[in-house]
Amino acid sequence: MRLSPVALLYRSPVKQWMMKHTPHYLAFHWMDQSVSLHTLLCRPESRTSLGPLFAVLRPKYDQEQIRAIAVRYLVMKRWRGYLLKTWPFWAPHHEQWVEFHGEKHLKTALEQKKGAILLTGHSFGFGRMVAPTLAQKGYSSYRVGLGWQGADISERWGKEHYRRWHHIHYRWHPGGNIAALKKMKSALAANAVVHVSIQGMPNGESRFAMPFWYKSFYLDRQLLRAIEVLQAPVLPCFALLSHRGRVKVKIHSPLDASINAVMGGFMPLYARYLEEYPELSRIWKRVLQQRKDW
Amino acid sequence: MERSRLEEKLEKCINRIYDAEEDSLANKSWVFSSNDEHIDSVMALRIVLAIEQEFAVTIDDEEIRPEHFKSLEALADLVQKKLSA
Repeated sequence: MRLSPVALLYRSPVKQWMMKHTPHYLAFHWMDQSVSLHTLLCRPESRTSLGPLFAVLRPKYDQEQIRAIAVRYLVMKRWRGYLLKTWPFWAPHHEQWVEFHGEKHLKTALEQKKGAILLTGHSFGFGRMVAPTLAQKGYSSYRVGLGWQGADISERWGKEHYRRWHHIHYRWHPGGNIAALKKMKSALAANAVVHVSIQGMPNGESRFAMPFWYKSFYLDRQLLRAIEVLQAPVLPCFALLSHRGRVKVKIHSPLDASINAVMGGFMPLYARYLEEYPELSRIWKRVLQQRKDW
Repeated sequence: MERSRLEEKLEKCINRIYDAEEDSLANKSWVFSSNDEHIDSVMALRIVLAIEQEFAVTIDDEEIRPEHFKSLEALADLVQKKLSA
């Protein structure tokens, strides 16, 4: 295993001791204050990365309100990165900083022995915390997608005492994901929880349209079709930021595994969360740039 | 099972899936393609599940690769391998 100088720094005993013993709310307070101070010195609207957010929200909010949203967006962005990187240290105390609402829905769904699909919006909130926290709570959990995997943090931090979750690598393009879909099917057959996020597309069929501020985007048809084949209960799931840096995971009641049921049940919820928590969405730039997926 | 019989049974199985697909993709090149990018992975999953049921075999996650969906013959090779295992 290769270790970069940065990884070695992370592994230094002093750093690890600090990470282990700093309460999460203090770490959040420090981050919150440092972002607020930074935005006083350097106005958020001058940041190129926040341009799309200001452009999209301008018709609804005044400048001060958007600035407050932008500050929350920056805090959220840093906090999410921090939580993911320090997960192995805080995992044993996850109850203190990750709260689950609606876990009873998940338990009820799992009683059917068909597994459960937790469906969230792509690049929304603290979705990446869901599978690790469920694993820590004793569920067999899978995260579908790209990016952050257990192996990444193990390499950075070393082997800590936290429960491992599974990762299914999925690149959201038509071909080459057959094995990933089969892995999802096998996991569901073993009554596991599979957490998956649905991407948005700039173009699509009108029946997959989702309202998003000044325009619509379209939910990924391929994933919706896959859900129909997987035939497991689908539970909308959104990970929000709560008081003093706590993560609030909201699990909603199960939907049937059909395109119509998911569009009828998930779509309005996702649209509402996007409107209520614009700072939790990370798709602003992609929306404005008309990228092929968000 | 004879090869020709196997391919015939496999084709019938795939046709049934296409007939049941709401969107009726009509063109089988969506699942059978030499280009990975053109393979319809959801349709391919449907086919894998149908094969497991029809031929009473289990195809492991690691055995499923895009090259098995380049043609009916390639898929038949996979099924034959599973049947003779």
